[in-house]
Amino acid sequence: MRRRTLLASAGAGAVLAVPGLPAPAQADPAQAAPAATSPALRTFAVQGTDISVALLPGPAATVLLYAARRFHYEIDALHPGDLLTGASGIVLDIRPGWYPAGARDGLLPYQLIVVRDIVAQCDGLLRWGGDSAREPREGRFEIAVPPADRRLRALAKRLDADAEIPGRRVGAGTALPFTPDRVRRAESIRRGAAG
Amino acid sequence: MDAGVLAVQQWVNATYAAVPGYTRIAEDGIAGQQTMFALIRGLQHEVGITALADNFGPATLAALTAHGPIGPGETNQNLVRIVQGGVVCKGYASIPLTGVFGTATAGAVAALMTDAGLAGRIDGTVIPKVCKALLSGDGHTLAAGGSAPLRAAQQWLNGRYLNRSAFSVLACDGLRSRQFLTALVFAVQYEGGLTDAQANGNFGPLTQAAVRASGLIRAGSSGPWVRLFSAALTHYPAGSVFTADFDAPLAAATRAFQAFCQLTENGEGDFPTWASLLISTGDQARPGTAADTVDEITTARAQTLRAAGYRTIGRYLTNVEGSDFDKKIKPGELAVLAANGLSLFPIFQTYADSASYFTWAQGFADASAAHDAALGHDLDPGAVVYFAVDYDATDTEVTQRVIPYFLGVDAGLRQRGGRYAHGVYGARNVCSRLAAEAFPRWSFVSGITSGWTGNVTYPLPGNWAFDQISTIRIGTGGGGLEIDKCVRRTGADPGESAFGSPATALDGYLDWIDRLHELAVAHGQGDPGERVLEYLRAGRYDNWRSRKVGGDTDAAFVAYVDGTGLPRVRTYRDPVAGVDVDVSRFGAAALAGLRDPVRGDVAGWGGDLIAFYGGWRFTEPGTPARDYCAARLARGDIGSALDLAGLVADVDAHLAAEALRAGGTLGGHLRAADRGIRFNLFHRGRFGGDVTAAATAAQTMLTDTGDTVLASARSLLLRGLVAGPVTVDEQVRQFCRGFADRLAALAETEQTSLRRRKGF
Repeated sequence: MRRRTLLASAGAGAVLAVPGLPAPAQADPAQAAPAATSPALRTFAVQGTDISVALLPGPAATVLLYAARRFHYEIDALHPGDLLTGASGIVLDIRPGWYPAGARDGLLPYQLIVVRDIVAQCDGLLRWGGDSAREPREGRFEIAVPPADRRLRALAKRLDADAEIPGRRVGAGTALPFTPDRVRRAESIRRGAAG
Repeated sequence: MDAGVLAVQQWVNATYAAVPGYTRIAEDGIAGQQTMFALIRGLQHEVGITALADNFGPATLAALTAHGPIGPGETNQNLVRIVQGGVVCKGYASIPLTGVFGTATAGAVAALMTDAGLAGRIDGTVIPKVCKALLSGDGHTLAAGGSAPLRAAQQWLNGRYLNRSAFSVLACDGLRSRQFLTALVFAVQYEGGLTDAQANGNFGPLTQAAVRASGLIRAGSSGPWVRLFSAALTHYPAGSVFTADFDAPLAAATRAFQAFCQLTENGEGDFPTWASLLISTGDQARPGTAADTVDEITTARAQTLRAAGYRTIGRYLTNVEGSDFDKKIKPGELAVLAANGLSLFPIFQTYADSASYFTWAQGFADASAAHDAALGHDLDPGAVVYFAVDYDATDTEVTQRVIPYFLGVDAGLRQRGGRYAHGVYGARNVCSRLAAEAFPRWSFVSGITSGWTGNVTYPLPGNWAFDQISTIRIGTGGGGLEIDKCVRRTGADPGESAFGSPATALDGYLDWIDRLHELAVAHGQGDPGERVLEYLRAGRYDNWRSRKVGGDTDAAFVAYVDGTGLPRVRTYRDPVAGVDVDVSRFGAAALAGLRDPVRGDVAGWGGDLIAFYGGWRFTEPGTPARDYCAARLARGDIGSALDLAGLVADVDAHLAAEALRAGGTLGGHLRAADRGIRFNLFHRGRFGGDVTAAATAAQTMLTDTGDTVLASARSLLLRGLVAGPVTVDEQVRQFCRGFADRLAALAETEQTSLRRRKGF
């Protein structure tokens, strides 16, 4: 099943106008979400959860939502209140109380493999907070390049294209991060980021 | 408010308030996550961790392991108090936080361990993983709605795998959860010989190889593999025991599961069965006879598909407006499908990829667009169009968004005369919820995204027809294409194999009814008349609501008829009314009327009138009721929820039900029926020939709250419009009068032509 290429879930599929017909009664959950902290940000639903987050629209949001969904599916289920974002809209903090600054070894080894794979699938353009030598934050994912970077745009385009094909969507092939070639690639990107 | 919990909260605040990284909690006496988090932070401080977290993760576990079990000899009194705080908050004891590990503390810990399936490990101390369980929010007693066999499986898993590094004590509440399913896969990996470093909770290549090598079980097998197999089976209705022995009941349950999932029915724990139990894709290598694709089916591709065993092909009715992505059915393409012996299952999808898309009004509008597109492609009446929910909708979103959308789809298709039926494409939970709360005939399941929230802990929906399991490329060159391989369930939607077919002639229809009657007699289960009507209804009107109104279906008879290869008649041409009548619609109403005359109204003219009322209120609220009724009610040239073809089906159903109740057969009645006086017979038989009585009956349909089945059917039909029963005002009275007048006029016209026929 394919959908139109869209940057992220929220805002897509605006209600088509039906002339002369009454508007539906339900409130839009996206509108009920907390207001963005900066006018540049937009509220996005995290698919598969009942969570909305304020992110910088465009490639940054696409990449961070990708990371959030993979965390939700492959590491630990996320619930409302589990995601925080800052004013920049390019940093995503997962359960800061759970993975606070300075705390290490909050993830099991197999979960760490998934984290490495998320970073690798984002070509290293996404930084994992656990890699910070000064003050690790194991629940943090951060865009590692300027939001307008052309590599980031290319990455977002690829993630969107994958979303059109059921077999390549987030949530399909959850065992793939553990296959030898993916683990190798993740390791090489980790070394690259460290060096 | 619990005094013991309050004491815990006061103690933990007082003790750790000054510790960096400790956050004060509310002292409200209510046990909850916050109190457990505070105890975890306190514990981390006691074992020397400086960066405190709510997470009892690997770092905390390692530090506590280095410290050793907490028991009677514990010299750190605060650690004992934290254990005591845990047992108090979990409700296992009401003891003061003495800091001394005495018999009361030991007894409470033993009780929790017993509940968690760890009775065999009770030694008077708290080992680190038990401490983690003690400070978790997990329940270890059977929860409301929990399953006892599933709880037994949770306990057994805890007992067997506690020492494996990635394994934590599972909740033992009998509830399905992602955590439980992941633990099952870990267990399969452990039994399959994977090391702690290899095990990851995913059903990947290594795990699959391990199952093939050592997990294949059958009648007579026993041991841990059988345990895990029966544990996984508890997710399905077929599985009701947690057992170590592959006995006859387990083999029977396995067979039932295999039949339901369209697997080879051998009653064994073979690889495909394991895969279907552990992951929503099942065994991705198993054969599929259906496929969906965005690629045009050319003759070369049709040959590729056919050679690869595919018979039913999903294609898109439309493109997305404003998109350059061209996925829709091309001119001439359906003829290519038919010429190559392939059938079509039509898909409607524009955006449909986020919660905000889904509203009742959107569903209504999409239904209309899909109707036009399907008609444009010459799809026959009764075709099932699959409306997509193309994202991972949460349960909350299904309630708030997706269900209203599909009620809108139902209303929108009715508004166009109900020519087409609808199905749903979506994750398992989306499909199951809709099958139980709205009206899709079949489900097209996106099992391929096995990690989705909507797939991972849910069984296949009861009305599944297609299960999409992998994206693959088949063929080469001009005959090559990318498809999503789907398993098609035998007996479910066969798809469209012909296009632009004329309605069956009356004689052909009557012969078919007689043949069905013969088969029902040969089937020998209950009243043949009811079996035949159930078979008619199964065409497109068999869903939970029609069953609630008109009773259940003998699925064995439907399968029996399908097995004979007798083609189904969808519509027949009524020679008198000059319209094509939907046979399934007639069957649903007649069946309900046969079983209960009042319900027959709901399934027939009354239900359709409610939908017609909804169409008026939704699309033309400003048009006076009499004008709307005159323009659209029981018209042969304009489709509506109660157009002429619909009223003929309802009226004939009413008359057929009466005849069957009087002891006739369906075939006999239909052959003898004078179609030239049907409206007269109905008007007299149902309303005493009285226009006022007919108007009153119509008003009862719209407003009566005494019959709960009627009220709930109505509230779903009018979901997009009104919350409660319709308020009677002058317009509603006019509307009901409009119905009564239209019926009287039809009866009068019959009288006129009757007089003419007789030469008066």
